[in-house]
This record gives sequence, structure tokens and C-alpha cells, in this order.
Amino acid sequence: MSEPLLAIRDLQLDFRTGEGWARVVDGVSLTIQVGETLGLVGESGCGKSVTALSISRLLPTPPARYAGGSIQVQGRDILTASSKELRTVRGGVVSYVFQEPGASLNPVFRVGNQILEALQLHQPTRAHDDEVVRLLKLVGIPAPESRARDYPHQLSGGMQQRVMIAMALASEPKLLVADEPTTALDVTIQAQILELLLDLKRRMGMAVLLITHNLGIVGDLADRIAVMYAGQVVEEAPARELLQNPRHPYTQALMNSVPELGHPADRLRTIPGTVPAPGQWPTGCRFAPRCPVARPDCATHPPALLAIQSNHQVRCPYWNS
Amino acid sequence: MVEVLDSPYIRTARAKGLSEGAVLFKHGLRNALIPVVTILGMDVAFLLGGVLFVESAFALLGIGLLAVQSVFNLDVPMIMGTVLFSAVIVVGANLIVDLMYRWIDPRIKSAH
Repeated sequence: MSEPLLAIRDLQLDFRTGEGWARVVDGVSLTIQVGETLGLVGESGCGKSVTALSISRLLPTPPARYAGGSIQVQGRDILTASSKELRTVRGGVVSYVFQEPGASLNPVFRVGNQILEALQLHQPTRAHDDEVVRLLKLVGIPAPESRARDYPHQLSGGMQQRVMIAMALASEPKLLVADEPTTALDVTIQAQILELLLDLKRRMGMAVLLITHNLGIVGDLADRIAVMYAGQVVEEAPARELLQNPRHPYTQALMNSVPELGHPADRLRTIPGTVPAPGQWPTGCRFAPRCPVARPDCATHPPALLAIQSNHQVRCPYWNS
Repeated sequence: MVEVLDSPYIRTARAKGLSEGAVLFKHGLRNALIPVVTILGMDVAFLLGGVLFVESAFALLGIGLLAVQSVFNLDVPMIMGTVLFSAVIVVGANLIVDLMYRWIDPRIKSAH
């Protein structure tokens, strides 16, 4: 197999807290091949966003600290890269679409100029207004000529997110990191934005890292899915395999908690308990205190990530029972 | 400024691949300017107050000294003149500040 576009190996990331360093990402390994879509799923605070920001080292250090592991983008080591090298990776190879588009666009610049800025940095030969209009048209913004002169606050949330996507695409990245791109949008707009991402990915042949806490949306979009819990990957498999044969109790619990339309339940199913805070993770299996099928030794023996098939990994020794 | 540099659009600017200087001066500074300009406008009023003392103490010729001398001489038209003139300057400074708000932050324009 050719060199992967992105290879994160055994990443360990700490954050400084009042009482010293707390580990928030503990030994995460992920790879993304050229053109592939990986869904990264997990509850709030499981470390998925900070893992994604690490890909182009966007976390301020301090308070963050890389304690171990490596990140390689097209074979380049990100954690040891110079700031000049980083700038060619940021935007040039890896682009981001963040949640809350309203806060992620600079309020004092016209949206057209913000897109132009990305072009000037990475595609200087195409840095002109016609290209900005073409990009806005590409992401489905009506009347792009006049919208380009708008400020972010003059656009709706869905339009703002389209502008963010246009800005991310301007540099023709190899990897688009979409960090909960639809969390701040209402449901009908969510579907439009996700369809747009899927369509653009097919047309431009980008790889996508889609981060979400909604298992429902990754199934349609992702080739593979990785599930994170408390700073670790607990299960990883091709999307279809994972959704049909979830092996880790946490993945199963997540899937059970997705409410189904047209099947009114008396109560919404939840996972009892809460995600443990970073630095206060249980010694054994981190999911054990909330696990419905936990056994006595789960609380003492940290489980390893087991390959149960060539492309299916589970962090639970009792996956088969 | 510190608050501005924590905001998501600064992260967006970094994620684009902008140099740290461009992030700070282009994307950071303009957003941090609003409180600075507000204080500048208020400072004009304090400046005019301070001028009364400074010009008297150091015998500098200016509106401060003129105002103080007209008070001591009970020159009522001159007192009225200096006070009115100061008022116009303060109002003018505030007008300039308000116009600068609109230039600095386009969101303020649509609020009116």
C-alpha cells in the first residue's frame, strides 16, 4: 500500500491543569489514505477534537503538551516541523471546517476577502475575485457576486458554514478536517451541508476526517469509523461493519442511544454515568464503570486494542461474548 | 487582545497557514481595537480637564490657561467661550470615535 496521507501513531497529549498535567489523548493511532473518509465518533471531552487540531499543530503549547507519539502528513513529521513547514501544511495539505461558523469567521472582514486570503497563500496564480465567486458558487451560495461583499454577520448559519467550506477548499487541500461541522446548524441545514461535503469530496478526491458525536450521520459519509472514549480509540472498523457488528460495549451503547424516528419510546435511552474527566480515568478499562457487561477484572486490567479481523479492532477482551 | 487571540477565528486564520505576524496584526489587532478607541475618546475629556492645571502650573499659553485666567478675572463671556469650545471638542471626539467603530467593526453599522 502506498504511503498514507495521514498517520498518527500512539499520540499522547497532555493539558496543563491546576494540579499539573492531565492526559487528554492517550495512545491514539489513526491513518487516513488518500481520498478516504474516516469518521471519528465519541462523546464530548473524549479527545477527538484535540486529536484533529493536532494534525496541523493548532493547539497552543502551553497549555497543551505533546508527550509522545508522532503525526505524519504525507511523510512529514508534524510535531518536529518548523513553523515555516507547518504553514505549508496548514491550508496547503490540511484544511479545517470548524463548528460554530459564526465565531470561526473573522467578523471584521468581508467573506470574499477571507476566501481570497486563503487563495493568496496557497494558490497565488488563482487569487482573484472570479475564483472567489467560483468557489462560492461551488458550495451552493446564491448570488455569489454580491454575497462575497457581505460580512459574516449578514449571512445565516448555513451560509456561513458554506463560506467556511469554500475557504477550506480554496487551497485544494488533500485532507479536509470537518470538526462537528453541523453541530451549530438546524437539522435541514445539517443534511444540506453534509451532502455538500460528500459531493465535493467525490468531485475533488479529497480525504475527509469527519468528527461528530452523531453516529447517525457518519454511516452515510465515512468509509471507516473510529470510536473514541476517554482519550483512546476503543473500536475501529469499516463503516458498514462497525454499524452492523459493533463489538465494543461502548459502541453498542452509543448506537442504542440514537433515537429512531417513528418508533416512539417512553424514554430516550442513555448511557448511565458520565465520561470521566481527563486525569481521573479508571485504572482498568476506562469504560468499565459505565459498562453494562463489565466483569470484575475489567476494573483492574487495562485492555489492549485487539485485531479481531484484518480491519476491525476492538479494545475489549470480551468482545465475543 | 489576549481575549481576541483565544477566539475561534484566530484559530481559523492559523489553520489557513498565515504567518504568526499576519494572524496577530491583521486578524487580531482590528478586533482588539474597539475598547482601545473607546478609552481614547474618553481620554480627550480628561485631557481638557488636565490642561487647566498643566498650563497654569507651567505657564503655557493655551486654552487651559485662558480658561483659568478668565475665571479669576470674572470674564464671563470668555468663561462661556472656553467651556463651549471644550464641549465642542469633546463632542467632536466622541463623534469621531463612533464613526471609527463603524469602520473597525461592521457589525455595529447594522445595529442602528
